[in-house]
Amino acid sequence: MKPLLEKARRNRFLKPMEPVFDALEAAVFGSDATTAGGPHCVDGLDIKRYMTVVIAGLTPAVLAAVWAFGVRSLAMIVVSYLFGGLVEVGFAMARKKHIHEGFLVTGLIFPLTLPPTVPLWVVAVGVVVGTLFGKEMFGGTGRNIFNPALVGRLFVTIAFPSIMSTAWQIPGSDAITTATPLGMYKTSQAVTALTDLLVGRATGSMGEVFRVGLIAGGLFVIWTRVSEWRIPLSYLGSVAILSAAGHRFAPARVAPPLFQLFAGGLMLGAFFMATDPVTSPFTKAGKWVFGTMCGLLTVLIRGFSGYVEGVMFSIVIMNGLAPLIDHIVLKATFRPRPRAKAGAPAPAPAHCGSCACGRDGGRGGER
Amino acid sequence: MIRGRRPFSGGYRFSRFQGQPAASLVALDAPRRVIIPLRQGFRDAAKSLVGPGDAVAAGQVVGADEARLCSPVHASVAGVVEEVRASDAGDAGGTIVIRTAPSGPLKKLPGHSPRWADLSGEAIGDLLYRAGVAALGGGIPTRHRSALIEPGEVEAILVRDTGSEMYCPSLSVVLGEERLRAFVEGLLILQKALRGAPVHVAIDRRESVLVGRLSRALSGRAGVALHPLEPRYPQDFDAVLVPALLGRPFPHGYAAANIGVVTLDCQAVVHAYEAVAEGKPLIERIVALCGPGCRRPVHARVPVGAPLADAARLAGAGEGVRFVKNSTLTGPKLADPQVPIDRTFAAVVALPERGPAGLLPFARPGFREDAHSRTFLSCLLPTARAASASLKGEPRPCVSCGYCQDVCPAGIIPHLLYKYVAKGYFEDLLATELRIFDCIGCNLCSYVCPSKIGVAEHVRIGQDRLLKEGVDNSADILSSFVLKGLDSSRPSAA
Repeated sequence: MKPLLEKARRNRFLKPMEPVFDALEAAVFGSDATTAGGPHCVDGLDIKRYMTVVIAGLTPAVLAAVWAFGVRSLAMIVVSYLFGGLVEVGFAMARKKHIHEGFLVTGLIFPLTLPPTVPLWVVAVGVVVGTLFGKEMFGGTGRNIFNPALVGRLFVTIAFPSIMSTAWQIPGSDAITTATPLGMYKTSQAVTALTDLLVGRATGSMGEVFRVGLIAGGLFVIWTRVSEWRIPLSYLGSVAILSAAGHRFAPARVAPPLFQLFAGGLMLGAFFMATDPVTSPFTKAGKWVFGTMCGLLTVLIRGFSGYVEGVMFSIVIMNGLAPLIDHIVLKATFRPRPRAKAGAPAPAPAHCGSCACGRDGGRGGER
Repeated sequence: MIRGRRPFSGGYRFSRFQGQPAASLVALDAPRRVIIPLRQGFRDAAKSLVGPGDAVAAGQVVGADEARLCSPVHASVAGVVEEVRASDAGDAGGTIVIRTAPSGPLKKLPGHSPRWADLSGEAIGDLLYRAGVAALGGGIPTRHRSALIEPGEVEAILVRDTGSEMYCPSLSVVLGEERLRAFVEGLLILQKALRGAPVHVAIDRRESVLVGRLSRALSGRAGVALHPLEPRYPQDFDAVLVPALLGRPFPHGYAAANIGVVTLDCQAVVHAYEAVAEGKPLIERIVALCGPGCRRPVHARVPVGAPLADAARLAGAGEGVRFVKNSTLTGPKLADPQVPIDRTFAAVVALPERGPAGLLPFARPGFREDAHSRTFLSCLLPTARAASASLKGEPRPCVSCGYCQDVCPAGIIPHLLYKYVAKGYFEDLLATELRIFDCIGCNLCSYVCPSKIGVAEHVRIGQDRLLKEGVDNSADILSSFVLKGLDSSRPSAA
């Protein structure tokens, strides 16, 4: 395979395809790159594996979706990867940059947030809009403000409201209903049994119904340190506390806490979308604020708006606020210090350039 | 004693790596030629006192300069000076090449005495200076220009070897045999030379036998405290250890000497004893020749000036390896096999340039992978970790995973500084609010980065650029510290 790749790379007409060959070669054979020195030896984790761990965490939910909704769910994932991948590859070719692995997660999470009955073209439209306007327009991986999968989901929700909210397949059968657990609470205050919600017997989006698997996968990703715990904990915690308080005072609108925790897309959102490091705050205090605010918005939207579910909106809104939260936290914790300009009668620091002492943090030239 | 205390936030505890040096000590034979650098340790280069054709004895001073901040350098073998090379780089100071002759007697230091307690502090200081021991660490103050400060300005002596690096010499070898007694005596010798300043010894708490022996030997000694510490990198950095052990803030960007703290490693203390009590100039170091690139990783007595190639041969280093001095995190790469091993060496680590090859490397189980995250099977296994100079992935944009923030011992936000510097925003707020000058240069942020970004390198670029623009933290430091030795911290006029 390696000589074949070499040949393809040298072909003049295939020149624009270079990022594809590079990505293939690096994924299959690894890269020959070595450290530049300082540090000479580095940690084994790379972004490919980092993203792979997230995908591994989502695997129980994917398998459950295939069991509950049939092979069609696989088709939705394939379409999502295909069209999401096309956008990513297209932009990499246009930019003459490497293909980044982030779309492997986006392309998987997006179909998991969709009702299992949506036509495949909706999947394609959603993932293209999500990747294009959610990520590439901002400059690609690491620079986006909003979670790309949720941008796609938001677009199709608003563009195709009837497709997105009227037909829900009952897991394990071909029967279609118009009701979801959250919708039933809104219309008749009917509470679905928790066990049904946990093991995936209730209706819902493709990847959200098997909540035992989502929780197990989410905890696994947190355990590996690829994802962190503050956001899911504060998100789920604030939903529990606020819905308990809300249910006490407005039981007709606010559903009880356990039901709220296990209904809708909360588990998928809290473990796999709110935790996206790019679009959430990086300060620890900011993560607590972010999660708590997500919980507040979710309870408010579910209880008091025309929408049945509020996870998507709350995460997207908080994505937009994440930079501001970080800014405020930094202002509060990193107090400005006085500064000196050139010409001040300050002697030069000891790292004067002629010795190694400043370079290694005052350890002296010895070690 | 501070047992098990976690004295700083962040940091990283390295697992055990493959290719640790064996617990035995071998001697490297005197090479046919030694190359004596005129700049060895603190801080400037000495002036050569010999010329081509001169016969020199082992231990004879061949370079010294009373006017500059430096201590004398010695011939480590008896022989004939072949050449005095000027330096290629500006401040390296050149080298003296000596062709080894059949061994002659060691030229001992005049005035040394096994009954060192009878010597005056000044006489001890003279011996330390003339032995070249005063050049170790950040310089040991004597009445000569061997350090930034005067002996009377020393407030604490910090001896540290917490074994927090991936590879470091084993303390049970460095302080093995008779050297443990020499170490204990050496502590007292240093204390006397430095006007009775309190001594703090911080060592790896895993060395339980040594900790026991030392605490027995030191019990009842006023002014000597032993601190067995967790080997959490970068524990050995002055900027981390001084606040942790002495409870004093550190003037970032300045040296420990500026607040009156002398820092040394354990071997330096042994050298101090050998100089003062036995009259041995510093012409030999115990160096760990180790790393997965060595077939026979060992501790070796290496004559100062021996070429790297000789040491590599002794340890059985193969082809395609990268040699690194002292620290795989911060040490310089030794590209030239003829580079001399001098008195500032504690370890030479040989890292294979390439990691093991395999298909679909991102999905490898990783039985021997060291990682901050728990994404390899090694996190469940007690295997020795593999080390190599492979980047283990491809550079990618920062995803703000926060690993660098987790491990940063200075409590700053490396990835944020990286983003400012990478975009070319060199603003004052980097120094004032984001505390770029608090960086102690441990390179852990670059170590853990899954996007393989040279985070630490960017922080340094930012610091340099800000310094050029006249922004530094000196006003901040100078208003909150009374610093010593600032006059002599300037590069000497010579």
